Amino acid sequence: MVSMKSLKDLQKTVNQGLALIKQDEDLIEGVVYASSNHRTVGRICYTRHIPSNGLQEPKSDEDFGVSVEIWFEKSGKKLLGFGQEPNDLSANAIKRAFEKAKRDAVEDPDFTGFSKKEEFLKKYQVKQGYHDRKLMSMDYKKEARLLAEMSWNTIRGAIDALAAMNHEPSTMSFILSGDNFLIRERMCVGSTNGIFDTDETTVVLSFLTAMIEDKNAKGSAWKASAKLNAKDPYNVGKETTKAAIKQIGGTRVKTGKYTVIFGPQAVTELFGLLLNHLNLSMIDFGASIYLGKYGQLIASPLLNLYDDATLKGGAGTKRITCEGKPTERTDLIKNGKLVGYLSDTKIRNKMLAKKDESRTKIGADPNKIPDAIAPKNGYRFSRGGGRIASSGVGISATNLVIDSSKPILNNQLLKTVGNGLYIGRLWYTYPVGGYSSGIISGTAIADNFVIKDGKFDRSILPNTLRLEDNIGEMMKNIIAIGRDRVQTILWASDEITHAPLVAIKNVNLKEISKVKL
Amino acid sequence: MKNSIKVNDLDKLKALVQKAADYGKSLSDTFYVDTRIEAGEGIGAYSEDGNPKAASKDWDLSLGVRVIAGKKMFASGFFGRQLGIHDFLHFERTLKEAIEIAHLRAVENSKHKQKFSEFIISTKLAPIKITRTKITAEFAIDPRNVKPKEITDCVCGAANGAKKSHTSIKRVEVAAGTGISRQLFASSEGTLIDQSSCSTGGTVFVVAQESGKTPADLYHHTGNQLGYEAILNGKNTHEMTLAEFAKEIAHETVLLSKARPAPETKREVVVVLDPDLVALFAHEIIGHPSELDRAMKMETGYAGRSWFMQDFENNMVGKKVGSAILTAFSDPTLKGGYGHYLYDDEGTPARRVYHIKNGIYNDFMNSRETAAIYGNEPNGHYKANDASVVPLIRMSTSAIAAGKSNPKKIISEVEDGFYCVGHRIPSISESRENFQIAPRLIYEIKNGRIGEVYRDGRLTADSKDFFMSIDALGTDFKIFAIPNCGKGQPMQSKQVGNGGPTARARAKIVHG
Repeated sequence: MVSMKSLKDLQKTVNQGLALIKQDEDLIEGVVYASSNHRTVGRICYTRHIPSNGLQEPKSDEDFGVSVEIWFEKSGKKLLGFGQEPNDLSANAIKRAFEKAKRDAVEDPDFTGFSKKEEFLKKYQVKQGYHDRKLMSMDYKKEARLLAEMSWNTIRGAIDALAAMNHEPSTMSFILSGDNFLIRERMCVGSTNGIFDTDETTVVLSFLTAMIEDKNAKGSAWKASAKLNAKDPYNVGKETTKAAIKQIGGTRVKTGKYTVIFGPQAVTELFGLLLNHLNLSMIDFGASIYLGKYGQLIASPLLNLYDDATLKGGAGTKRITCEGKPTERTDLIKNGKLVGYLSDTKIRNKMLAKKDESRTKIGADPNKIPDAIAPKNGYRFSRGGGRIASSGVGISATNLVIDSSKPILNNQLLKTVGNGLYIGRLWYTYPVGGYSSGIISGTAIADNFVIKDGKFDRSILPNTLRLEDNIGEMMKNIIAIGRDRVQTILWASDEITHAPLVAIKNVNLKEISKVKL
Repeated sequence: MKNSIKVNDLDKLKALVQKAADYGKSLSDTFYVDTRIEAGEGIGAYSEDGNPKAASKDWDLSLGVRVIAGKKMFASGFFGRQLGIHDFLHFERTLKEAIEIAHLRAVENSKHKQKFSEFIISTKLAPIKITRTKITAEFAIDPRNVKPKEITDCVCGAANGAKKSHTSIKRVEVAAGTGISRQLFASSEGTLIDQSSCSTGGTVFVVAQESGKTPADLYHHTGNQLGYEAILNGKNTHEMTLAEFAKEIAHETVLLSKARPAPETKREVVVVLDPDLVALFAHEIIGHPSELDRAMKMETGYAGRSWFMQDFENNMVGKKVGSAILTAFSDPTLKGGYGHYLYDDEGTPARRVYHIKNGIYNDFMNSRETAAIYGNEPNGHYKANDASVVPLIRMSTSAIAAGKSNPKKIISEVEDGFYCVGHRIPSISESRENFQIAPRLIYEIKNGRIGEVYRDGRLTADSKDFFMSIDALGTDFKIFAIPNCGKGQPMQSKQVGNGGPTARARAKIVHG
């Protein structure tokens, strides 16, 4: 039993769909999209002071299907409709999806058309075949074996790390929690504007947290890649345990403003929040902190931020967007200046059509900055992994890269800071003051250290520091950016962040949680 | 030719679902099998400033299987899938395949598990009463009869009315949906539950800006486990139609846009929380840490642990965690939000569990598996978004119990403090032992009177200190529909119910 529908099946469905909708004389433009997605997860819970199962949940969920989105004229009105059929690629399924689209269509005054092929690059920057072929074609039997092996190897890695460090395992209240997550995606998109293309992606993610609970020591490790590597699960188990052991003997830190080096996971959390403000939909909505600031200095001149779906070896790399556009790099911040936004066709067209309103919201005439608002980021990410036919196009990053015109080595970064703190992992960091204010708060939950004289000193107890700051101000206060980046994932996020260490001054931290856990 | 799936179609699958559980049990070394099949029919629409943006009337069908199997040690395997019409028409084959795949995973898991006999246990389930029953959905206006134009006009009218309510409103977006779902659950132990429910709700997003000032943005949700009447006729906790609710949130956003940032307090001050805000406290710092999977470290890598339990010997059970007037519970039998049901997703009869009784910590929400390890009775809190994903321990209707005080007096007795209204966005520490929770509005209270409103402030405290400081709870208990509680990997965003009365306690205010 093979779980994924073939590209040929998806292409056949899209071709049939286009042929069907083109017959409709009311049609102005239309898009047909077919996909097949598979999410396989081995959820791990291994504890020594509470009975556990080790591999708690070897599981998967999957979907395939077709959707039709059409723009058509009826009784003098232009209507936009969307319809989908799950788990069916047949001609009847296409017909039903089309009928739903016609029946539920609405008169959206902002809609002026789907993606146009003339706007596309002529050359693909990502060639076909970048996915893991073995994983993509894996049947259920092999998948069950692989999932069990990966998960139990992760646990073995953790146990071996404990043993190697001469810690007596039977007396430790040790926790290993997290997952190995395999995503397989296949899609085909076609439109009456001449687009017809396909993409196949595999993503292999591992995220583990280890804790020696009676010592209040917590560490994390993770791995994100486009292909399977047999050694990765074991290594991630080992690394996360070593990270937890390094945290033994933690101290508390008093409330105050500090220069903080944020580690890759914490950077990913912060820039994940920042990304909301660089989404053209949020600019249009009116709640971005960067309203009216196009071209202005909004962050430290050291900061370059871009999304690059073409990145070689990137776990988030895609060949085409879900609108059928060959992928490109999207520059967002360059030398601290706001130079671009994440965008898709609908929002871009709306901003162009409402020029005066957009000029105020963006801070520039949208017609004069086509590259900055170009629709390079339209995807149908949903269900925690996959490019799903039943979802409409939304805006998403893929490989978010935090870079600098002057990146430095990590040991230089530590020396630059001198005395401060290292926060490895932030958690539950949300815009607690609403989006418009930029106010955020989160907790430093793992992998935290005091920095003394340019070196890591004592670890900091997890959950004893709360970040209370403003995301816009934090970006302005960046004083150094590391050169070495780690592909990092965020729970419930679709993008992969290529995150270096980032040092920020005047970070407001509050000492919390005096209660002993 | 079959063109869609109706919830009534599940009648045709009932016998197959029962047989399948027995088929699964016949596979090698199998201890237990359960299957869930869920069908839904619904309709939704979305408007921006009174313009329609999207509408959709559709159905969904999903399947989930759990198998517990193994030679020397039992282990779990799961399989889930969204289904289509073709799967429905060939359901027996679809279901057998699903069971076989879940079985494969359980067996492979078990093979590795038995090599790890130290510290690892064989998967067991605490016993439950075998039940065969049917529960129907409650509605006055059947969601299946709502037409796309009706709901589109509803959201557009609501958005338009809110937008026009004040000149400083810059954007209003309204999304609403109404639907009915039905789940068949069958286990190899003989349980067969046929449970249906409705869910209807609307979310309003507003931006307002006074000239030259920072914009203010708010969003809020109203709804109920009823038919379309929940938003059309105001059959929800807010007792407002969607149009009225949208205007209310628009009004609050305007207030915020004109307000000064909240002042910071160096010390704890008296704070009075309205029931809408108390609902979020019940959710974040009582409900979540009372989920037994969290307490047993299963969520350490994701949603966190619980300060109510370090391990089975070191925990807060039987110990004081709050003031003597504080009682909190989870009760799936209560209606009014999204947390009502009678059987959970493993067929356990749902019942009230007290988390805190008169300030003393009592018990956790659990599943059959966690109950077996912990050694208590299952209480029916194992739920999933739909049948294709694995259930987790989830809140039902989780709330702080009503008190005996007059809510108006709770405010009028305050000489110097703050009245905090409506829930907004929280940030909670990993074991839920500290919080920073934003109300939508913070009003000053001076000499018992409500005064100036402030924007963007938050309440912050260590959770235990906050609970211990509660000195008044009102009689005005309410349950709110919470549309988006995130948990699990992949993340499931679940509808739950949370509630409480007006409450008075002490916390710091963080500046806006």
